[in-house]
Amino acid sequence: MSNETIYLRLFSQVEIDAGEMVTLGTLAEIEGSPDYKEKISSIPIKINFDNDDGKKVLSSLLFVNLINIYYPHLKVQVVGNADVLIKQAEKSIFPFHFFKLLYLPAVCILLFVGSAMAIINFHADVNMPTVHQQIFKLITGEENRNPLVLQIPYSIGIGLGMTLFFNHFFKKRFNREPSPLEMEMFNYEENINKYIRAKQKDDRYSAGEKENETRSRGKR
Amino acid sequence: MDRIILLMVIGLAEGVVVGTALVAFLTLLDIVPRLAQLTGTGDRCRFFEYAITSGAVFGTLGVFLGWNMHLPGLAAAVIGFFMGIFVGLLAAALTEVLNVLPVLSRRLGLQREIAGLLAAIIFGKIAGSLFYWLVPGLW
Repeated sequence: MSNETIYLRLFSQVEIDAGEMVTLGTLAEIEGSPDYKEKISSIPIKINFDNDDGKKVLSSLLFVNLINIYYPHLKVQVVGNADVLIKQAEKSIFPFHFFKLLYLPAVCILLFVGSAMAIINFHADVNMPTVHQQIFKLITGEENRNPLVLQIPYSIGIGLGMTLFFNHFFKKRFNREPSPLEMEMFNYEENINKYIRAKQKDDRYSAGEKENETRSRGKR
Repeated sequence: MDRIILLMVIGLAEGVVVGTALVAFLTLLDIVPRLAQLTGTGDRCRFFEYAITSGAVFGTLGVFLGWNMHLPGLAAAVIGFFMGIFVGLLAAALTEVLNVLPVLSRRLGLQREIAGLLAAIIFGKIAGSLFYWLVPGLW
């Protein structure tokens, strides 16, 4: 009974709703002695999102502190991340579902017209018609001001090339690897999280108020 | 006589610079590694080097010396198709699509429909290209 250890492994990020009562089990994985595992997992903790961006970084030492208040005889070992990023679940900016039904086609039309313009710009810039005429002359020997037999497969090939690069066509994939677009989204989110962690480094120990709240609720 | 040698040296130097630029461009856009990954042939990249080099030399000589391969029109269609795939890979690998699309989808709150946004972009490029060739007098 005296020398029991608890292993604490914080999740890297957790999404919760505002005002929800969170327990330690939702913020970290708890392993160790079977007697205390369940009890520690259900220690409640109240999260105040006091700034606007709805994100809070909690250090692992706060958890160690909490467990020490409740069960002073336990040893706590921290494994993995040293802090957990808690995000408030965002309310959707669309009050009704059908706004989204109108919004998505508008954005798609914007992207459609924009990329049509971009590819026409590219062709005009690099003088692609002349290049097509030259290649057609190289292949068949005829002069043709409008070698459509070259240009129409070329246009279809552009779409195929982009699809090949992005590794999936609607929902079907070519390869079991993640698409480069998914990796870019992941990288972007990781950068945001790193930035938030670095920015909130100073007020991590404003956790003092949480300590008083739990203490006043009394030991279990 | 020495003028001829000077011109040959200048031409060679120009060719070296342009060739380096072309290969650097292809390397920067990650096209060759991406293709190797897609086809699972990463260990044979020597052949890719041979293909790129011989294609560039062949294209340059063919256009400047006025060669003529006497192939039927169907060959032009097939070669045009491959040209399109290459340009499509280039267009997809540019930073403007790869870095802008994730940020844009988050801004607009459309993260889960990103496949739809991508499809809009791809069809837009196909339509734009067809439009440019089929509508007469645009260039």
